[in-house]
Amino acid sequence: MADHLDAPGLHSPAPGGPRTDITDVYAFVKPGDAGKSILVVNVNPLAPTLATAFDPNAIYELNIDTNGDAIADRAFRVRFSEPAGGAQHAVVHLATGPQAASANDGGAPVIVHAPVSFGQGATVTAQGDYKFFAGIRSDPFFFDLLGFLAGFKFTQGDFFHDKNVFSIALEVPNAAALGSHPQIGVWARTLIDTGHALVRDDRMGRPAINTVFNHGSDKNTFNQIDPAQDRTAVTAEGMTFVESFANTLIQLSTVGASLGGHGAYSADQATAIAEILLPDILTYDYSNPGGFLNGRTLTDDVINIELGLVTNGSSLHDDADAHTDLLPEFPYLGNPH
Amino acid sequence: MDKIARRKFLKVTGAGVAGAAALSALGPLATLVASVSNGMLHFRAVTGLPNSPLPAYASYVLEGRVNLKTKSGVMTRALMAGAPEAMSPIAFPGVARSATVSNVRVTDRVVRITGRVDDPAQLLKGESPMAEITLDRSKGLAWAQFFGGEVTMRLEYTEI
Repeated sequence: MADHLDAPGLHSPAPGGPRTDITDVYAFVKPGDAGKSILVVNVNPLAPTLATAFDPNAIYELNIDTNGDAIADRAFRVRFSEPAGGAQHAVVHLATGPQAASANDGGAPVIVHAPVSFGQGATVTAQGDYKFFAGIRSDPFFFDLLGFLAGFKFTQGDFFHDKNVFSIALEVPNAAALGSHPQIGVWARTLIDTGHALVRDDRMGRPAINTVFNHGSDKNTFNQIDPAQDRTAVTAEGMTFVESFANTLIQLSTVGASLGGHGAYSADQATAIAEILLPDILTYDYSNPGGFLNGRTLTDDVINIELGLVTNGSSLHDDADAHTDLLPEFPYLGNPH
Repeated sequence: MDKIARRKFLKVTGAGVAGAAALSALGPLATLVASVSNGMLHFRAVTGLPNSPLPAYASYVLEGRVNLKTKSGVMTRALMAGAPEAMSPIAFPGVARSATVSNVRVTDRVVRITGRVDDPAQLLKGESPMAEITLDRSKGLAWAQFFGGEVTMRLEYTEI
């Protein structure tokens, strides 16, 4: 539940459904090649139970902020053809500047006619300096979801060990694709093309933000605003998301106090952390191979890192470990179950 | 999210034929229900997980149809994506169970129902094969187990 099924019952009508429900975003230095990065956005939780293809009416975006203003300066936009005869193909555009900042379908093509992988094998498309993969994969996310829901009673192990997702993975040249300044921000967004407008459906930067911190209809509101609005937009209760996150942090740290934490955060402390979590952007320095909070690799134990943060230093952790089915080369994501 | 057929949902959740029969007999969510008619108790209890004050991510749903005279019936439980106020028809796989009622104890307006999970092969590590729920209709609350912890649930009911 990094972002799996983050706002499932809030759409009316459901514009995109599971095909555009983002589950995770990853950004990491390519193993063995510091000049390239790997960007991944996963969608379609529990695949293929809920959906069996990418949405041909959707735009799947990986947005890049190169100057720290929480506005996209570059955007990789992936669109898919209608599924036909068990096949589907993708095209990837790279938008820059004002075209990247707004919701549209523009950009220069960097990958065309790339086949989607629906089976065990991973068909990789290489064009120019880019590699691309799209298809069903083993879900790399790991977490004791049931233990979390039971009130931090982590006894059940990794709920996601046998789950699949639909993955979109890009291998990109760092400076040419991500900008010359290595410290960037990354987030994913899905848009639905209704024929009349592009409707925001889901978005994600860091794991377990919308799922853990937002209440009720705020989850949907959060999905439909841009990161640049995260600190000023208001929730259904009329407070800013920063204030709402701070309140939740105080509640979580109060729980953590009984689990070995350092006690409830003060209002100032909670606000300071909320302002780190927002805007919801995955910060990534492509000159640094270290993982989360610098970018996110497929094996980073993001949940235990975040549990320590939100419970103010408790030793609370689940017993879910990184998956061992990862591939040694692009797209790195394991074969589907 | 995509709407999926209720029967398909039950197939997804693994609730089984007995669970499907019980749930389909209970009717639409808006009218549910803990009602007593001819000795039959129908109930539905719901809570958001994790429990308040944390934002709920999922909904834990227990439903049952129990004959209070013969102390028999069926209970089902499922974990649905979305908080109770925005519950989706998407069930988390591997968590749904159906149970056959083995005992019922009634004290004033408190009903304690005990059952046994129909398919023990579904049980996860440390999960009890017993299914229990306590209903307090005067308070509109129910209490049940969720993977090692007791959860308080909202009991929705209407008299027939």
